[in-house]
Amino acid sequence: MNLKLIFIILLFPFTIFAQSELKIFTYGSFNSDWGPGPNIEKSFEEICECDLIWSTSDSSGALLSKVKLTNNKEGYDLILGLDDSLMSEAEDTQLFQKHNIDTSGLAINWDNDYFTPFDYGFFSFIYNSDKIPNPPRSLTDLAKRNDLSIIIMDPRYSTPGLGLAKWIYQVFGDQSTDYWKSINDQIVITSKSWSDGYGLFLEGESDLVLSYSTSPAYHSLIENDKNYRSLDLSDGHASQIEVIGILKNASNYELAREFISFSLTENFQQHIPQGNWMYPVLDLQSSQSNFYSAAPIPKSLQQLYPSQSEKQNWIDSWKKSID
Amino acid sequence: MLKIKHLKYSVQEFVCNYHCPNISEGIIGVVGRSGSGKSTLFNLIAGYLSQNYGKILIDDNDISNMEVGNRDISILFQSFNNFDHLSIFQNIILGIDPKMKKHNDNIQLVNKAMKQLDLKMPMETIVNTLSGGEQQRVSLARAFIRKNPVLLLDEPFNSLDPGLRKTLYKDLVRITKFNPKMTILISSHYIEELKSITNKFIYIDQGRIYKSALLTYNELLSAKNFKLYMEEKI
Amino acid sequence: MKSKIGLIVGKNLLINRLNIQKGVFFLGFPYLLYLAFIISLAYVVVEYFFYSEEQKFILQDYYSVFLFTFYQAFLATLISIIFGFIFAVVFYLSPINHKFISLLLNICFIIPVIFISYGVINIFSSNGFLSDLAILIDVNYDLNIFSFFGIIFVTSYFNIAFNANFFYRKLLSIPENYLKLFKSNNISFLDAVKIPLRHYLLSGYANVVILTFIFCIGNFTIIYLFAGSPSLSTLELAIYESLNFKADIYSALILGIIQLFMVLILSIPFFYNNPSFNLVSSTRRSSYYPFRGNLIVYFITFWALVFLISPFFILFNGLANFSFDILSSLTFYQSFINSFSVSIISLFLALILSLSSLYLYRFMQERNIFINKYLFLSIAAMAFIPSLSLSAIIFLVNIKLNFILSNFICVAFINSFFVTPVVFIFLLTRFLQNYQNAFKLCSLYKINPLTRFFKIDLFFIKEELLIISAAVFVLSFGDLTSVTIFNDQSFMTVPYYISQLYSSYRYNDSFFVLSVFVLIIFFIVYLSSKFVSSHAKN
Repeated sequence: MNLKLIFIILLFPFTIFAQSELKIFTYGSFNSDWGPGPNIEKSFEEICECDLIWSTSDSSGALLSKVKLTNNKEGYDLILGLDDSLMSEAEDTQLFQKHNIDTSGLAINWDNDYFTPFDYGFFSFIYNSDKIPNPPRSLTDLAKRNDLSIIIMDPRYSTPGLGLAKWIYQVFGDQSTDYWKSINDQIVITSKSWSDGYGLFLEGESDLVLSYSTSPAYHSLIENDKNYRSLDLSDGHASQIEVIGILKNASNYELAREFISFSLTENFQQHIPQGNWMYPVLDLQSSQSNFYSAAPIPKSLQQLYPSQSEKQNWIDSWKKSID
Repeated sequence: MLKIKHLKYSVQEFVCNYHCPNISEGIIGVVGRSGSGKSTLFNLIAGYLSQNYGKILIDDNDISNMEVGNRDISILFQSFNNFDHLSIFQNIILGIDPKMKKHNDNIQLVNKAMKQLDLKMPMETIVNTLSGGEQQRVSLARAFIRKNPVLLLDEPFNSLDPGLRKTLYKDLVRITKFNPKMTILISSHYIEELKSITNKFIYIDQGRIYKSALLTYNELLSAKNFKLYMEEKI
Repeated sequence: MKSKIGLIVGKNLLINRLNIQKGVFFLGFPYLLYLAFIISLAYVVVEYFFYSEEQKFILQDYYSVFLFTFYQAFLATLISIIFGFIFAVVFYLSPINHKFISLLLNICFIIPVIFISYGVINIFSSNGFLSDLAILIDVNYDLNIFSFFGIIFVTSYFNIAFNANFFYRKLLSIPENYLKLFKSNNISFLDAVKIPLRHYLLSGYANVVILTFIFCIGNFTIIYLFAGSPSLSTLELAIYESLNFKADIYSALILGIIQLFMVLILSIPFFYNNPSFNLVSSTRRSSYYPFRGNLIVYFITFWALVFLISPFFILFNGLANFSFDILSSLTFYQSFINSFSVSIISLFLALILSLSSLYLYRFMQERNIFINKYLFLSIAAMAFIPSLSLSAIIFLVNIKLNFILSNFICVAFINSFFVTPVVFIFLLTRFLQNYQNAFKLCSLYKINPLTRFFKIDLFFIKEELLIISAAVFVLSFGDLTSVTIFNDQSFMTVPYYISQLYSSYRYNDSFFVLSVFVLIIFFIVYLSSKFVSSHAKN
């Protein structure tokens, strides 16, 4: 008799003990050792009796393009970490399905059938107050400070980079390209991801780095270093909402929905402030007071949800300045 | 017995026409100036070149159109007669066993051949560690182990010193005693040395075998152009 | 009776002929398979463009990329030629042991790009050695290594070593009689180089220049690690960005094919000279070396050594950051296992294909079949196919096959493509050595092709095979090109892992893994050279 067949038949009953898997595709820093990923995994696996598997990409900008190119052949169930500026493009790919989750009662206004928010933040420039006792007070001021070098992320490939392009557009409108030209000489490195750029800033490669207004909270609360500060610009700061979406060929739609529901509970959200160093979408000001004190919410600009062509216009304004 | 019948070979303007219907057994010296067609003759007999016309017979078997490996001929060249990165055993045995298998029969054969050629070192010795003379003995051993009726030696000892050549000629003579029916054609410019091992010669002049017959040494000396050839050599 | 004998003879002849044909077919089959594969690749690409819906590709968007690709290639080549020659001359005139110099130059050629890149960052970055020195002596230090300077510096590093190696070997091989002639006629070294030796030194150099230029055009890893600006992008990086960030396989393919054609056209002069490379084996210096350097020569020698050796100091930095956390992480071991596996598979594929090609090349050479030149072209040309261009094509093939090829297979395959011609060209001269006499012997003794190949040829090239296998294993092991496209959670190689650690601001961890990685490479090189030298003694 076929031994292999016997083997399979004998083992078959044990398959009922096999856990269902939930595959999430996210950006590298979310699932790093210091990111919120490991804690979220632990919390979710306790309630779902499932196995949560993370996959990461080079940068946030690569998340959508990877599944688009391969038509999600890897079989991811969820993408976590898409930028609100990419939502329209993501919907156009027809790779996502409706979540059917109630998103009322969040700290931010939200209305989208395909994506749910899990954190938000505001773009800013971080600097070391020891080295820059007199920081710029506006974007225009920043452009005049030729003594200050800046690291930014590539707007084509990184959501913070795209966020900066959006920010400049929101402040300068049709004069965006001129503004980009005026800061071009100060930009010493255009990195492909946030972690790349931020790491180089910490190594002293520039005076300022494009990041989030919440970044100094990490240095203050974890490293006890209060020298890293966020610029407080009079123009206001552009915002970013990070979202999760369920992919159409998700192997376990219900489990994916369960995760999304979980992401809107305190069990998930508590790991965001001092894990992802962004603001949670639930109001946790009372339980996360340390974080909110270290990272006060800056003056913000209006939230935008651009079409693909609008997004491309922001990027083109930047590209024209370097050509 | 080797018979060469009107063997014609031409390349560009050079035309060779060899005829010698009775090349007997034993050692026969092949002489002639450089470019006269000695190596061409050897290559035709061995099968490396194809004649335009004519026949080559060994013991009345026509081998003219046979492939190289099927002719009952062994040949030694001036150099590179061995695969010098292989052992003595492998180089000798590939004469009769192309797969170079190491079984008792083969080992015995090689031992015997090595004894005949006075090769005293272990058969596992790699050939490129041997002296020039020893390496030529290895290739001679391989040639003899095949027991072919014809052995062609195309200036095989030219790169060796006179003392060593003399020794190798003696070895050649000694081995022919074990193979009396073998026809051995040996080409060389050292005619005085050849004279010590044979009195039968083929003189090749301008692509032809002089008088289409074997010559004695004295007949050789009185052959047309031979004196000129010897003087040029001197 | 005669007819019976005739039948037996005929049957033996036929069997012999069939055996020979079987042997030839068996040995040549991998090459035929390779040809079929290339033709299928070409078909898939042509079919894709023929049947794809109208897609946007604006060539103008890439003008700056084309310009930069050529500009950095040209500049790096020029620098490499000049400094390569200078380094070779000063090393030759200095009293430094020639074996050490040869070893150093050989190592610089095969050492992974990522190692030198981070080594240079370790020296020049704002937190690096020079910056610390500047603080110590109270001098302003504002060099930005993540810039055009960094790209040219590291690109030139490898190519200076490559060019210097060529000239150094030439200098070492100057016949002793020439040297005696120069000395007895009071001809100085410079005068000797200017006229009598010029032709000797420059013969074959055109190929080196072409190779250098082509290597620089296909610059990817250095740009990937150093490019601090979108204006510093080569075609290879543009292909990577199209695939990874824009999901634009169409543009990636067009760029890949344009680059492929450019590089193949540039390589045409290369093929007119039958190139052979013996970059790895040592050259014996003649016992008579009359030329000596002066203070200027020693000064330049010192800085040349500093230039070549200083990136290696990152080893100390890395080992000083010994990390138990890294050593106990699964990803660490997975990445090493992946790298080893990929390198073994690509080496295996490369050996099969290159040995098959060598066999066929010689087969044709022995029978004066002229198409052996095209066989040579078809293999050597692989060396010039930029890795990302090939990755784009393989990506397309994988889409057509519904992604049945795993990332591991894709990377192993692509790596085997660029190491095969290295093996082929390196072994060609030795494989063909005395082939005419060997052919005569094999015909005479009816040694069939398989016996000849396995029992004679392989033993003949044993040493060279081992040396080049170690070299190409290391080349594949240290590669950071196709893995940037073909990677996932379960598959990443060590160089990619190191770059990910670095990008995540885990600099100490990345340097530690880098040090372990390079020590393993040194060990492999040491083992292979030890075996070769002990074999030579025996």
